[in-house]
Amino acid sequence: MLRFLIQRSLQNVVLLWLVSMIGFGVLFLAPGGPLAQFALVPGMSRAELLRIAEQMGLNRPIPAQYWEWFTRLLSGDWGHSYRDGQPVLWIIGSHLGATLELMVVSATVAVAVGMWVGVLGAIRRYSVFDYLATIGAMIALSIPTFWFGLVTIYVFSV
Amino acid sequence: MTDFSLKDMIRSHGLELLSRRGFLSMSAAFAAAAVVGAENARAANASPKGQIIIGLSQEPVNFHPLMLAIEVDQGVHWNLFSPLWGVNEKGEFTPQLAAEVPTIENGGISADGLNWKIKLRPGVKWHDGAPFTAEDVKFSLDLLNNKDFKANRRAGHELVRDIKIVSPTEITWRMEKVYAPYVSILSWTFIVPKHILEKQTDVNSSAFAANPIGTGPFKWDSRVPGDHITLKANREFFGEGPYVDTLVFKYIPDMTMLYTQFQTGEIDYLGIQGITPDHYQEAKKLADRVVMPVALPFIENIAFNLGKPVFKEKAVREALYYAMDKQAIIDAIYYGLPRPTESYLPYEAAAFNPDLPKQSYDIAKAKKSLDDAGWVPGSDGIRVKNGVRLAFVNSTTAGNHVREQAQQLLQQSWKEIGAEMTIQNFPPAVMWGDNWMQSKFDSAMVGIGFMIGPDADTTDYFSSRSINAQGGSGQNTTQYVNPEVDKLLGEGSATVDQKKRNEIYKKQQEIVRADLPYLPIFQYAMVEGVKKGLLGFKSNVNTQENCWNVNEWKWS
Repeated sequence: MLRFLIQRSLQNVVLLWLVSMIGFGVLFLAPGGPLAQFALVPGMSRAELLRIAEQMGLNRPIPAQYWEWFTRLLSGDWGHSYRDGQPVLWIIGSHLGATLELMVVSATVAVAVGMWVGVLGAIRRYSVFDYLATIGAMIALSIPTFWFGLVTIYVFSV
Repeated sequence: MTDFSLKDMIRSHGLELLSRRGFLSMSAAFAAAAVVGAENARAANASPKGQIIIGLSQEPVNFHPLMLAIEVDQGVHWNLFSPLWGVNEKGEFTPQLAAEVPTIENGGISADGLNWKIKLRPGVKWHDGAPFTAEDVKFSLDLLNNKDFKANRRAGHELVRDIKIVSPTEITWRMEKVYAPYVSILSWTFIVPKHILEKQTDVNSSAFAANPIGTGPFKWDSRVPGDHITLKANREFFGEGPYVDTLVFKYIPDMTMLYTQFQTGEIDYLGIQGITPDHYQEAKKLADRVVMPVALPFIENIAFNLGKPVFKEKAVREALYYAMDKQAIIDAIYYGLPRPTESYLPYEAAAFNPDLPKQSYDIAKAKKSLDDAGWVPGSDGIRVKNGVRLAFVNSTTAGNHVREQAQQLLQQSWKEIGAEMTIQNFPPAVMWGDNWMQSKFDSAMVGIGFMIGPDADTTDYFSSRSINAQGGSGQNTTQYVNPEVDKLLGEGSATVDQKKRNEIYKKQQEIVRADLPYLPIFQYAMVEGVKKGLLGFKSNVNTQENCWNVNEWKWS
């Protein structure tokens, strides 16, 4: 049993490491780069962009950039945002409160409503309520949440 | 954050309870007193009242004005910080932290353009009360040149040597070589406080940006990331105003929502990215709102890759220009908003040449030009010369529906004169990556801001040394080479006399208009709006954002 656990843990570590490499590499497939947002700012010239890229180490080979990123990530230094220079951890943290609040509330509502609907549907099997509930659940599962979220934002928060 | 919206803040402070009339009459009574004391700027900002809410569809997030920033950030910088001199809508430099703008006439710049002497304004204070001195100017310039500092712009500053502090209000330095655009570059360089930043062990630390201290008309108050920024009036501001007590920059990511909040009055000024052109007519009819198109320094044009055989002949480019129905593009596709132009400089630029020949939509002339040059229509109607077909690809950003319509219009017109244009668009990162920068495209539909800020030096776009595809470095992606233009560009950047420079650049525009590496279509316009009664707004092509003079804004 212990052997199994150790084997699995090692596999997970290797898997996470591979994922980090792929994730990091995929970003470089997108042309433009992190400085693309500044390229069209009035007054920005190609020479300045190249200088900034060099200063940020963006023209180093990808494995070198990956290694620095990875070792810093493990030591807790998650770097600074390209856009505003603020520490990345701080940016994530500033949104964490609202995210957690949304998650807790929506999970609570989902569990409360879902349990009630499920129990009632089971008690009154094959009733109209049961069919409606099942169909409703199917629709809700199939609708992409990112699309539905945008629609509700448009409808409710103007 | 979810329960701390601006609306709740206003409601809890009771301002919402005041009717608009009540609020206006209150500030009107005060404004009357302000008008009386208008001559004396100090009296006017002795007790600013009220607030202005600015709505933007991009979020300002950078508050250290010397680090990387985009246009919307500069709008906030203008209110927190001051440069040595600013630039107004006419292109004139206005003294800010400097007592006067240095020129050769007043001795501020030596006759050879190399030695600069700047007199600074006395009695200016930072927001924390510390006095502003020449030490702060030296510190800012040194910081920009610090190899470890992530400066947003080093062009020009790297030529400064031997900065000497003559007195707390006088500073001198020597330029390594004459670089005329430096005066313009300094008008966008905000001075930062030495006494705060020198204490930072890490020059790139973001601690200052969390609580910025400047010399501008407004002081930092608070920020809710992703929602809004609040600034408060600096009652000891050295310049005119501010006339309002609270300034709020509100971030509304969706442009439809931005427009809605403008209609309902939740925001007083609608800024970047403006009202969409299809809402313009409707917005003009809104009661209590003043909506106006403001000029942007970007020019929409067709760019030719002169490295491709089909575009090598001027006759071909001229013919394609004759066959362009500019007015149809502007009226039918862009709702008549932007201004047709013949130049690559905006109308408002001091060096703008108003006497360039005006293009006319003339299919007959286009055909004649091609006939005379020996381009004979083939069996499929497309002209051929020396085995080269007059066929090419036109590319732009995929998904830009407005541009696609313009492309289709051009495709039709150009078919009439025997030119075959194929439309092939790409996602922005592909289109404007190597495809553009390394001159791989045939022709493109593109919007370009050719100036360096308020300066008309276009070396990056027209110099033969700025062609990346030929070993140079710059943005001359059309691979345009003209030795006369190279000469003019060199003269322009080495002449410090602004009037002489304007003449040089006017001549350059004449030559480029004749050569047509770009077919200029129009100068961009964005529609911005203010609530009726909000005075002082002036659109300024020479700054990156139109919040440059909020210190002059007041309620009538």
